[in-house]
Amino acid sequence: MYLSRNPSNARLREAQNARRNRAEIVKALADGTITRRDLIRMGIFTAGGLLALKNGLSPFARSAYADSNIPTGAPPSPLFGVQPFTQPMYRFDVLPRFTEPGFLNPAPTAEANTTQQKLNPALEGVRPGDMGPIEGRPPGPIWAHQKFKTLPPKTAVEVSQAGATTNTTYNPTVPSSLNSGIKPSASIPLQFHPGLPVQNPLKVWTFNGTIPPKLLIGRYGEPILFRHHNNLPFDVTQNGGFGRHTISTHEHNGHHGAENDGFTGAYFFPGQFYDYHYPIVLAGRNSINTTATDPKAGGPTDSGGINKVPGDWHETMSTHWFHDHMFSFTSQNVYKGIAGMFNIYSSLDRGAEDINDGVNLRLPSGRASASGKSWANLDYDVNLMLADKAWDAHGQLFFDIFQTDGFLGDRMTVNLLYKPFFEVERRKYRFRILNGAVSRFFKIALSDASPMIQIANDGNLLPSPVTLTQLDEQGIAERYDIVIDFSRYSVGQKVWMVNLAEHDDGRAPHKDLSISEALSGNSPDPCVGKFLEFRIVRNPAQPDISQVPPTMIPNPDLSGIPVARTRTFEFGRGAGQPSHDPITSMFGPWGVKTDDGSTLAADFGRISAAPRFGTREIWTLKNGGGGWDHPIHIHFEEGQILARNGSLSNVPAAERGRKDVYRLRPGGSVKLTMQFRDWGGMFMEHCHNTTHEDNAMLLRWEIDDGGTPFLRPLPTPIPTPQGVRFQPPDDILPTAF
Amino acid sequence: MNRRRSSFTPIALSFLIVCAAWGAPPALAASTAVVPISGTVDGVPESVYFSGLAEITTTLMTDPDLGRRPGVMLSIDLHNVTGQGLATGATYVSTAQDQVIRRLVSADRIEISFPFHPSVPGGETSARGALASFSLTFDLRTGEVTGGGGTVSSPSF
Repeated sequence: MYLSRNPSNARLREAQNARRNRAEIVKALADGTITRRDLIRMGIFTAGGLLALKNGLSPFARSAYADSNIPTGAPPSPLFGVQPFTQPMYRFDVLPRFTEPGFLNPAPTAEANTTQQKLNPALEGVRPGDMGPIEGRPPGPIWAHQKFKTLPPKTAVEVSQAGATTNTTYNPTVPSSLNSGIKPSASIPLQFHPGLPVQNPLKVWTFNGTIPPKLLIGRYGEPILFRHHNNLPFDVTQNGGFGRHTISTHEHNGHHGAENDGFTGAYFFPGQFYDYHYPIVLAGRNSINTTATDPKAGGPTDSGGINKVPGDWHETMSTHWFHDHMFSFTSQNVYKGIAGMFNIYSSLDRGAEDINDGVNLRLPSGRASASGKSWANLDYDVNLMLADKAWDAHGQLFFDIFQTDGFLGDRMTVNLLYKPFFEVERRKYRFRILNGAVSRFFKIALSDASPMIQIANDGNLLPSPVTLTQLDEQGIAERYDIVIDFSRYSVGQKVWMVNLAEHDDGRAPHKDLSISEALSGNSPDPCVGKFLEFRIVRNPAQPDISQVPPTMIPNPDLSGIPVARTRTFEFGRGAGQPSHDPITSMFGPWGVKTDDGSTLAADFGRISAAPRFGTREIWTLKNGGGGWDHPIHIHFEEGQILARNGSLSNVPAAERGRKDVYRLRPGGSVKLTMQFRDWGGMFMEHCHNTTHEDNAMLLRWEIDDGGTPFLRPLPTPIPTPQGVRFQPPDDILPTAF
Repeated sequence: MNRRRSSFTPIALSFLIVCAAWGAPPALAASTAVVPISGTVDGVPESVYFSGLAEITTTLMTDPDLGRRPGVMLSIDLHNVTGQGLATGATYVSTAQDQVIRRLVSADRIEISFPFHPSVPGGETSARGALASFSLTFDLRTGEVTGGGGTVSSPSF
């Protein structure tokens, strides 16, 4: 996504023309005016999915390789004179929580609310006078909220998907002294830096239309009803050139029923809402600790105690995120800003470092005695969303679908802000780092090579903390929780977070640099080097009593559970697409080969695997190529890596907890084990390089034998503004069941 | 960069090349080289002299799809590199195990940072950072390390 550092004016004009021409095609594709099949027929995509080197479309067509080996999709994003580390980092904006029942109107229902409303004729396929349901969730018992009566929502959170606007209700839940001096009462326009242009509402779509990104707060034992309104433009062409106005929100990686998972084919339209029911339960609740007697299995109460819940405390989760999963448009929509984070609190991970009851791990967070909050203190517990972005000559967000290898931006953002600074005290902080990029991997170090302690991977506290000076590569959607102890610095000092992973395309990091190489400024990749400045501003008002205990959450012991099945999934290129269903299938260069069958492009009407309810399986994920990396995400269940490239010794310490994203590494393989418990429905497995995902590296698997209301196999939902219809699966792979 | 050049001292090579073929697919060929490494990390509470054998496992990464120049993934393990405090004689250890990706070239200078701490219970809480710099030569056909050595030094960015 970037030219060489000093391109000629002619090259810049050439790239600008190419961007403008490609943008028209991107828009036509996003509008639905053309399809990927059309582009192939037109010769714009090659059979392999790459952009054909046509003059006026590809900036490489004549001279790019003569200038530089660094590929580009556009001229460099202009900075308008803005310097790095000149704006404070806004901490996440905490979503308000309300008591339910009683808050939401209409009240949430187990089955989708099919109350009819008059449809806006600007919606595709809608004629004046057409009616459709107010809720976009597929109707009927199969998509009803599972265990809605036994786990009714106690908390309501209501959000809307909307175009960029000014935030006038910012609520970080910490004092401004712990937020780099930012006054919560300040209005926050949606811009990547105060010196950069305000974003057009069609260019950036976020939760509630604002920045900072939103933070959902939850705790075990307190089911949440997350009502998501789609307030995006009715007209599909009103997208600023990219992005699709239909959405499906994945709670990554919630242990919930599939109706709340954000299935890629369960999207909903502008003017509708979708009620996601997040019960927040521990896995194994039907077979382990069923009487809820173990205090380690629980959530925090408002009075500092523990609300014990059934299930296996070894399955406790902490750091999630939620993002769009619209079929074939995930990369564009997430890039536009449809992403937030979700902190889940438990008796072990309380968010109150001064509660010493023998259960609470007392990780850096803040004191209940100081804040009056017995849980979810964010004083010293900081969410970081990393993402590379690009913008056009007017400073407006820019995206290029023609990078089917993967899309790279040329400007680093943290919490959707260009290279900010963050003020810290001389004490321990927890950072929950999310790779929210489309295709970029990160490898993080501190600029002075000081140690960091990794405490969690993909939202799961590790069995033991791991001290590192440079983290492992972090693939897209992976979350690394780390602790940095700033007491080693003096007041007035600065230290920076540095990215060591250098890309020259979206396939995988080109190479990992040393810290000195990354700091040298010599990398052609503009996203290498410092991206977040820590300013050590004072001593803490109270002593740091937080801890990083040597034992946190040991893995659940699965050794006594029989392995019901083994399956293999190979992720590679050259996929075929036997399906011609225009709604459920897509075409792209990428695909998945299941159990040594054919490599198939995505079709959410195809069932590739169907584990039996209540069983354990072993899955092997293989990278079909040596020049690529794929961060593979398996929805719903946390897995344990048993081997990399055939051996446990190849699994680094920081990966020996539970995970939901598995970086395969070039040519590599990962063998993992999972159980399939508690909930049913249709889920997904896909590459979380969302460019790969959107270009067909995705499959559907399902748990459909958990008893009624499920059918075996499950029918496929086909959303329309007038309502969701169902159709039989397009295909069932021979090894699925 | 200049600092690294000036501080690097080639060490007589003592290589043990272990080629291992993994049992499970894909049949990636990995090779392991044991590379001598030594040097001093300055700092408080005391300077520490490290020596030992770094274990470097390399895996060749080819790109048959688009013919990109091959890369190599290095897994660098410093478990067998120990330190001795120059003031107290205390033992220091590292549990570093880092993976880095590099383009495959005949000779490469690779630098990683690593944490170390006193070899006592709870010593991790006083971990410090250091640098391990390797000058390695590679077999361009297999990605195996064919020679090289390493030094340990203090970060001074």
